[in-house]
Amino acid sequence: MTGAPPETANEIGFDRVGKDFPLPSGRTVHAVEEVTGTVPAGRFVSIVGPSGCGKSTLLAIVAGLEGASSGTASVGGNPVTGPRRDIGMVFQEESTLPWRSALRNVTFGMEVAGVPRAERARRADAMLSMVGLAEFAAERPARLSGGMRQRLAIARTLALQPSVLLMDEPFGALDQQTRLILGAQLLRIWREVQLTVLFVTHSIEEAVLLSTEVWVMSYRPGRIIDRVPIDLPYPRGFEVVGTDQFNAYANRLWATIRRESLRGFSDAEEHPMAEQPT
Amino acid sequence: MTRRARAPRHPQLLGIAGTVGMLGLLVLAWQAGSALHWWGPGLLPTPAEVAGAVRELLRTPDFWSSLTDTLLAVVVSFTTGSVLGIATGTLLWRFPLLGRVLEPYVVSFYAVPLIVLYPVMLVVIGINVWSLVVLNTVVVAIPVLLNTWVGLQAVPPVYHRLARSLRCGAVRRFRQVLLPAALPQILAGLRIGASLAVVGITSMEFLLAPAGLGFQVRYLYEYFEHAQMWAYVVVIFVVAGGFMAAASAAESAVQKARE
Repeated sequence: MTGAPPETANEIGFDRVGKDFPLPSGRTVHAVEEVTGTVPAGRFVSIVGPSGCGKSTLLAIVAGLEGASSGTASVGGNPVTGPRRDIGMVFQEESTLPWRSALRNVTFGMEVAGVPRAERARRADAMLSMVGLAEFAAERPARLSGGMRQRLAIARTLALQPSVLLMDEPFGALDQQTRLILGAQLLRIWREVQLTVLFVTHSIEEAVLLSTEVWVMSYRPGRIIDRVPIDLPYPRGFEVVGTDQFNAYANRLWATIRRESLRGFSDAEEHPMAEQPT
Repeated sequence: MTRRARAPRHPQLLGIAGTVGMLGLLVLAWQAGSALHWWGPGLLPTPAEVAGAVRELLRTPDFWSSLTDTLLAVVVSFTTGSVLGIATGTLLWRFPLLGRVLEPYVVSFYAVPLIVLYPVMLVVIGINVWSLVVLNTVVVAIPVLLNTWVGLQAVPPVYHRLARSLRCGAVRRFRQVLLPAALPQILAGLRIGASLAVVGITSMEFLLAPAGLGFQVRYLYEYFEHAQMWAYVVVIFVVAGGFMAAASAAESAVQKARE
């Protein structure tokens, strides 16, 4: 994007972002309310919060997949009004295309974006190497493990050279060990590419391991109720998991989330129809 | 290592050999039954007689024109029915309200013996093979339509979001994401369509048409030409088997290209 001052080029901004869902009953669910904040360029911010708190909705608004009911989300200083090619998105669900080889999965996004053939091939090779799948270029996704397929999806997104990367519980479907290993790999890539990352997760450990800052979202209406900078030195690996400093961060986050979850459960019992559409 | 753990070296070949062997056994039983007079020659002549009649057939121009008529009708109705089915299924998926309105009709069409519309066809098209082809096109189109429709509806939502986030154009989204994602289901529909194409044409020929393999069976049956009639029955079995084998081969080739 042109026109933005360089210091905001890869920045994500929220200005009083809100999202309401009308329910068939006539009630309105305030999924996201008054979210204001900035993810500065090159930072890694995770959003944690109880189930159904609207964190995925907030991410979908930045991605341009959902419109905000109020306020503005912006990327690189430009308000987001729809999907954009400088905004990369990685989904939680299986999103690799099973009929394409790993290589052609990575090139797919670039084909759509009209990247010339030679450039596509060059970038796809580089991306597959970066996510450690170079030797699997010719394989179909069915021959890869779940973690490898998610790395493939990351490679497909990064091949478009987005200025920000949005990740919606990208390792949520994987087991705990795999998700921490992939998290550590993601950190390496993040430092290599110098990306701005906004990462949604329900795993506190994952958030502390990865992030420069963790935002805690409240149960409905989803607001940011705590922002915890994580001062653990990079490069970080899973050796930090379980250290005193790590546990102190995790406990603080967990205390806040537990309080919110309990509030959420009692609310869900009073208003069982108020489940947020996903 | 136990002996049981050793798999046969060519399981596919073994399977094919078994299938062919089964056919051999069937012919043997047929021969035995005829020799032991379990049934009279008026009901089912011996395999040798039928084989002789088949050899005769291969020399008669009448047979070749019947075969061509039937094959042409099967292939044309299968092709047009498939195209029609995929197009209509896509349309009903694309316009859900239209889909909801038409669904009961489409589903009950499955159960309607379309042959009852033959008189209409006679008036509109005339007594020729095209009446059958038009009816059979609809017969083929219905399962293809339903499977295309269901297949497109069942595409995981994440693919829609992926296409949107990549800003995929409508045509590319359909051709490169949704259609391949729905393909296994569509292929299953085409397979049903292929079998209905053969059944539909031969049975309508049997009942209605003045030409084709099905017509020959009925004609010879009415003239008590049992050996010749059975020769045509054998030919229909071979044609049906061959058509389905070709359809299966095409299906597994597409599946393989996908995996």
